[in-house]
Order: sequence, then C-alpha cells, then structure tokens
Amino acid sequence: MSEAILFTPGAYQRFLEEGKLMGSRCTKCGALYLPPRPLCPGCGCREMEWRELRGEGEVRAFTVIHVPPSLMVGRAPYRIGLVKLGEGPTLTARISEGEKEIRVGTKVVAEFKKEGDKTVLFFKPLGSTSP
Amino acid sequence: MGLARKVALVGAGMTRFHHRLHLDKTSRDLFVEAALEALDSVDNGMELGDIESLYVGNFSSDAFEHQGHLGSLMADWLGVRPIPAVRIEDACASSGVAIQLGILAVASGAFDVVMVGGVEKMRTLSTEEVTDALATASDEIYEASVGTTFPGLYASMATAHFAKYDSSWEELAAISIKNHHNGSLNPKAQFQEEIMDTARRREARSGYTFKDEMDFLRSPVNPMVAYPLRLYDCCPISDGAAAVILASEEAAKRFTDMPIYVKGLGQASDTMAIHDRDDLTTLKATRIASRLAYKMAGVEPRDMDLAEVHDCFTIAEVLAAEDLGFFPKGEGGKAAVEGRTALEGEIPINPDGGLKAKGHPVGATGASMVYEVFKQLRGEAGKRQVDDTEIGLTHNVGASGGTVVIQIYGR
Repeated sequence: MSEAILFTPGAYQRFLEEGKLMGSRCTKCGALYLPPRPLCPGCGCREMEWRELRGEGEVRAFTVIHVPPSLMVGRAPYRIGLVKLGEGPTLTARISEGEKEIRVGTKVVAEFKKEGDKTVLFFKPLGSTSP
Repeated sequence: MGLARKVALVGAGMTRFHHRLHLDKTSRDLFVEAALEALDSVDNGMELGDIESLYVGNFSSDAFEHQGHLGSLMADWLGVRPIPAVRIEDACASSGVAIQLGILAVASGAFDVVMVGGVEKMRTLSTEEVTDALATASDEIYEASVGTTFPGLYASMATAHFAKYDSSWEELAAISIKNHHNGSLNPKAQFQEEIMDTARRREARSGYTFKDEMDFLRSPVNPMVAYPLRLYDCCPISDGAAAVILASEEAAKRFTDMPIYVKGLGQASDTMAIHDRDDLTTLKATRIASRLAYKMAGVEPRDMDLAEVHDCFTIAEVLAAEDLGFFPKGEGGKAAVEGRTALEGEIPINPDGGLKAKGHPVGATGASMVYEVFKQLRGEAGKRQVDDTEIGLTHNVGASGGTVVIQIYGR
C-alpha cells in the first residue's frame, strides 16, 4: 500500500535502500517531484502519489569537491553532478568515479552503492569503467 | 509598491573585516564597535537614546559561538535597553533583510530612528567546521548530505554557465583581480593587497616564479576548492560587523544636511536546492527583486553609478552583473575582463573589494554593502571613491539564491 507511505526524506531513503528511485507525482497537474514532496508547489494540490523513476539522465552541471565537508573527509576529490532525469526532475548526487570524464550533457545512469550501513545514490557516466 | 514615507540613511559604521585581528573579540564586541562608529558618523551628532528600535542580522552565532538571542544581547551591551531588539537570520542575506525590515518599520511610522546592523564571528571554528556551518544554509538533506559544499553549489552554476555561454574560468579570474585591486584601496578590507603583490610574496615561500597574475592564479599556489573554483575564486572566512542608522525624512533633517535616501526596495525567494531551478545560470530571485527595486525607484539598471553585489564566489558576481541587468546574459565575466566594472568603468561593481577582498562575515555583509554605498554617495570613500555618484544599488544574496534582497539609494 504505497498510498500509506508519507512523502518524507526517510521514506525516500528507505526506497533507495531497496534500489528504487522514488519521487512523488501530483494527481491534479501531473508534475513530478524528486526528491518527493507532500504538496505540489506548482498547483497547490495536496494529493500526491509515489512514482518510480528509471534513473536515466544527463548532467546539467557538475563540480569536483576538493575541500570536503566533515562527513566526506578523506574521500576528496570526488564528483557531484546535477543530474536531470529523463522524466524531468533534477537531483544533486555523487558521480561514480572512473576514468570517464564528465561534462554538461554527459548521459548517466543511477547506481546504488553501500557506504557504511547506508545506501547512497550515484550516477555512473555511461561507458565508464566505474568499480 | 511604495513607501508610506521617505526613509534616509544618516549614519554608517563598520569594523575592519579580518581573519586574525579580531580573534580576542566576540560578536558583541564587534557589533558594539560598528554601532558606535555609525552613531559617531552622524553629522550633527546623535545619542544612543535617539534610537527607537534595533535590528541585528546574524547567520549562525549559535554554531560559531554557542550564543543565541542576539537582539537582546546587542541591545544590552550597546546600552539601548529597553527598546525592541530583533535578530534576523536569512543566511548571508541576514543584514540586507534586516535593513529592509528597518526601512519598512520607519516607513510605517512606527519609529522615526532605528539602527540596523549585522555581525558574524566565524574564526572560532576550523575551516572544516565553518564549511559545515555554512552548509546549513543550503538544503541539508538533499544537497549538503550528498557531499556538496557552498563552493560546490556555485561551482556547479559555473560549469552550467560555461557550457551555456562559452564563458570561462579566465573571466572569473578577472573579477578576483579587480576586487583585490579595489580592496587594496579600502582600509576596512580584510585583504588590502593587489593579487600580483600577493604573488610576489608567495614566490619566496613556494619556489615558483610568476610572470603575471594569471600565472599565479593558474598555479598550485592557488589550489582547487571545488572545480572550477580555486581559492582565489572564493571569499574568505571573516570576523566583522557593520551598522547603519535609518531615519524618517523629517527626523533625518535634524541629524544631517546630507541624508542618503532609500529610493527602491525589492526582495524575493527561490528554491532552496539549486537542482529545482529551471535555469542554473541565473539567480531568478535577483532578477525579480531588482525589477521590483528599479520600478519603485523609477530607474533603469544603466542609471546606477555603482553596485555592491554579492560576490561570495567570482561566478556569483558574473551572475549578478547579468541578472541585475547591467550586461546581457553570458557577458558578465567579459565585462570584468574589459574593465567595464572597474572603479573607472561604466558601472563600477564592488568598489570596496567585494566579499572576495573585503571579507565576508556572513551576517555583517549586507550592512557593509549599505555602508559602502552611504560613503560613496557622500563622496567619503577615499582612494576608492567613484566619480559623480548619485545613485547606487546593494545586492545581498542568502546562500545559493534562496533569498535575494536589493536596495537602491540616492542623494
């Protein structure tokens, strides 16, 4: 009964743990939100439904973090991308490391990796040899 | 929108912004120093007892000093109890928003004279801890926790801008060089040194030889922070405070023969996370807030004699120069390369050195921009004085553009 699951960051993360990228869709205007929102800022509708996204997209913008926040100390440099999913929404996420260079427009696909006891969403540049 | 009655600036003060000078001072010491300088700057004299309400912009004294409730604290230590005192937090736009609220309070008729300031004491924490504290102004769950940083957010906007407009990091470097030049002329600036002079000093320590600024800026002595932004694309971590005094038109005449009037105001909000924006190469809130302010003042962007814009990162000045309507989209960086935003250019941007060289004690920045416009419009800006200034703009941004507040001031 997905209708019973609230559109919270906790629920979003639990779906990631299952290897699912889940957003919310407005039942009135059809707008799709990732991360999921409980209220449609577009039309004000409060009736949302869960929607799974395919996880295919392209890089709209990116950076390589050399000076990291404390939670990432020891991991820098690492790449962060703003990835526009095929279904429309854009998400900030890690980009899988590998030889493959990224640029604005690079096609990527979602992959779910364990870091500690948490599943983290990465996007892999297509054709890369990410470990 | 219009104001119910005219409001004027009658005084302004600020501490020097610095990373070492104020190590022994707390935010209350810094705030009182700036507030008293503002009071003493009033031409015909002013007493603390003339101030009817106090507004304090501050981002995160809670994280930096384990101290909250700054409204009351500053009223107490400044000695203006029992007037109402308020703290305003809107990330890096805290004191710009505080001034907007102070202006509205005077315009409403509730008060004739108010003081508005801002303060941030940041050097209590390590760079890593400051990075964490600043990250709370972005979307903690969907940006910061992913591993991006403030430099990372603006760096992402830079890569989007480069791709869309074929702009370049070299254009960003021109902004850094200009702002350090302006800072070298400003006795309140954190860095009062041309980049080439810094490069010369660093040669001895680093073993490199730099033939010009670009050679230095491309070297490992200017390390990458978040690609494509290097250290000299980022504002420093600073301690400091700034304060201004606002009065109704009638009250202002008692205090000075040279009031600086509020001509236009605008404020807007945008998505917290930048990934929710349709266009990553623009701060939409800047466009909206500035159009409101221009309309209220009855002016066009080209009428501005100077602009204080929020260059927390060099790319932010590019976006501001474009979004404020000074230059077409894609040409904000080129304008700096061509000297069009220099002190003697067609629209001098950040004559005080900007956040880049003047420093960025987060909660004090908006008030320090208004301090600069006050000094420039009164012809009191010393070596960095822009010629023939009648009207100037301040542009203060909260975080990655979730808040933007604009004011236009004129003689």
